[in-house]
Amino acid sequence: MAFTHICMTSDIAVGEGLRIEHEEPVALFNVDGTFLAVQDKCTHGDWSLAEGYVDGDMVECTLHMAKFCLRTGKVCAPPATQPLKLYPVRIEGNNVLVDLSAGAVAA
Amino acid sequence: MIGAIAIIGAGLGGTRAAQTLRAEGYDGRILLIGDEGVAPYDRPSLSKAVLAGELEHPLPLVESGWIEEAGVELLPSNPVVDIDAAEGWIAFQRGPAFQADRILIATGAQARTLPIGPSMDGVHYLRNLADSRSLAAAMRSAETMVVVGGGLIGCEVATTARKLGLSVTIVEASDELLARALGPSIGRQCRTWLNDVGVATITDAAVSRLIGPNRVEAVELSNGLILPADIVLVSIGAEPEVGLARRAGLPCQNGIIVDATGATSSPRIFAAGDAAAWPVRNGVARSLETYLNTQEQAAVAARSMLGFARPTPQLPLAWTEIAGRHIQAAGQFTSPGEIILRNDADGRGAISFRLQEGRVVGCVAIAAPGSFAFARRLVEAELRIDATALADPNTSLRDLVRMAARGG
Ligand SMILES: Cc1cc2nc3c(=O)[nH]c(=O)nc-3n(C[C@H](O)[C@H](O)[C@H](O)COP(=O)(O)OP(=O)(O)OC[C@H]3O[C@@H](n4cnc5c(N)ncnc54)[C@H](O)[C@@H]3O)c2cc1C
Ligand code: FES
Repeated sequence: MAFTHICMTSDIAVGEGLRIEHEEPVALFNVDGTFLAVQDKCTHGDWSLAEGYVDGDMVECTLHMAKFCLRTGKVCAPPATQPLKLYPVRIEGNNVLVDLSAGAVAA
Repeated sequence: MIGAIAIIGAGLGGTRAAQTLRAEGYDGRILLIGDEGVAPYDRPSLSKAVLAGELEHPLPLVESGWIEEAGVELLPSNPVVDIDAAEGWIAFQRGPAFQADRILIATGAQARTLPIGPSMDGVHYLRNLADSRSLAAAMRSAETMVVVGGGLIGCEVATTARKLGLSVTIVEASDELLARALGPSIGRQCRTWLNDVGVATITDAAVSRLIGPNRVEAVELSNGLILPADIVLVSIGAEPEVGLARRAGLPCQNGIIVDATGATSSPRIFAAGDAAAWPVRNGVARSLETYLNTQEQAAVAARSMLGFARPTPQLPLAWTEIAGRHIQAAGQFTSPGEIILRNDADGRGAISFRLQEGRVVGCVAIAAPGSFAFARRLVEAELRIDATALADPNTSLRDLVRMAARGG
């Protein structure tokens, strides 16, 4: 497990996301104070989810409006059919850390 | 108790309806009947990534294995030839008839054909995977292409043709491209961008003759111009596929007439997607020919079949990719009204809003998907807002959506 410091908790407002550049980019969201990280690339096409529309704990891809649950990675609305990988997040004080190497689809 | 449901058409609408039926807990028989001989797939890629060769096969509409797990009986290549509205009998091209308690007609649309003859090799239409494959093969050995009709599909294919290095000309009969789909002012912008990527465009001209004899070599326009063409794509619109419905005695106009729950005049028959003339918010009932509207209609109609009807007039919601730009539209955009242009703060994209009596009734986003996610919610809410505030990039769309949610 290798957690990387990404940002401060105050850097991402509630309902917003941040794109983390990496081999496979990661999107980090603030869902009502809980920080959740998922793969940034939508499973329907080549599009970043970080600027997606966050509604509760779901993110809507801005290209064709597929929806994913940010807690489970599961598809909540088509056209996507494949779930997102989730990344472990750790909060230390006001620091947000993500393990960028541990992305995995939930069982 | 509903014993069996037959869905005619295994495209987007049919497949989403089957998914909704299962998601709602219906565990009876579902026949999903298609005629393309392939599993349900994502149609919009046929004019884009699949045609360009960037994607070998269009994405499937459902996760692999879902059809089997859900116990949906997919008949991918046995077209329905007749339905009997009174008793629910469905006649297939092959094999015995089937009696269903509920029938969903999701037969989509057909490409409108060129009203001039004769039919000739090298003249293509684009509606299904087979069309896309044969057009792609032809484009690989062609140098010149004429696209007849400057609507969404014509402009998308012209974009793809340029990517493949063809010399391509769009011929449009009206005075602007995309006027019906996105309105003339967006159409004018798209024409400029198409020209920038090397697509030639000719407006106010119809194709009057195909020059052959057996294989098309050129087209002649109503203004006398002759354009060389190794291939011709005819993309002059689509006609809802209403043949079955008509023969079954269901009223049709711009599609199979349904109410806002997908119900036809026959209590056991429903329709959704491109085949249906569905009621539109602030507009005339019609076939909307969009992916997102089809999905919503299919879900609504599926629930209606199970007895949970919830009237859902449609807010038109479309996307396209033209000359390298993502374009998204919501609501009413083609009728006149006050147009407010709002540039994204980052200077890359822009949204045009249409205001009617101080309310947001439509928007078109160009290269601004992030903002469109908010903008379309303002259209959904028909937010009442001051034009200057809306145009100001410092007014946060997110805040406006919150305001709309509070009933602003
Ligand atoms: C090339 C192309 C690009 C597109 N791009 C976009 C886009 O970028 N954005 C967007 O919003 N929309 C786009 N659309 C529109 C969108 O794909 C349609 O609105 C949507 O597919 C309609 O779904 P449907 O289920 O009503 O019809 P369809 O998807 O057309 O499915 C109907 C199916 O029924 C079958 N069928 C017909 N008659 C019978 C019969 N008697 N028996 C059995 N089966 C039958 C047909 O063969 C077909 O497979 C595009 C369409 C095309 C053709
Ligand atoms: S790319 Fe995300 S829904 Fe299509």
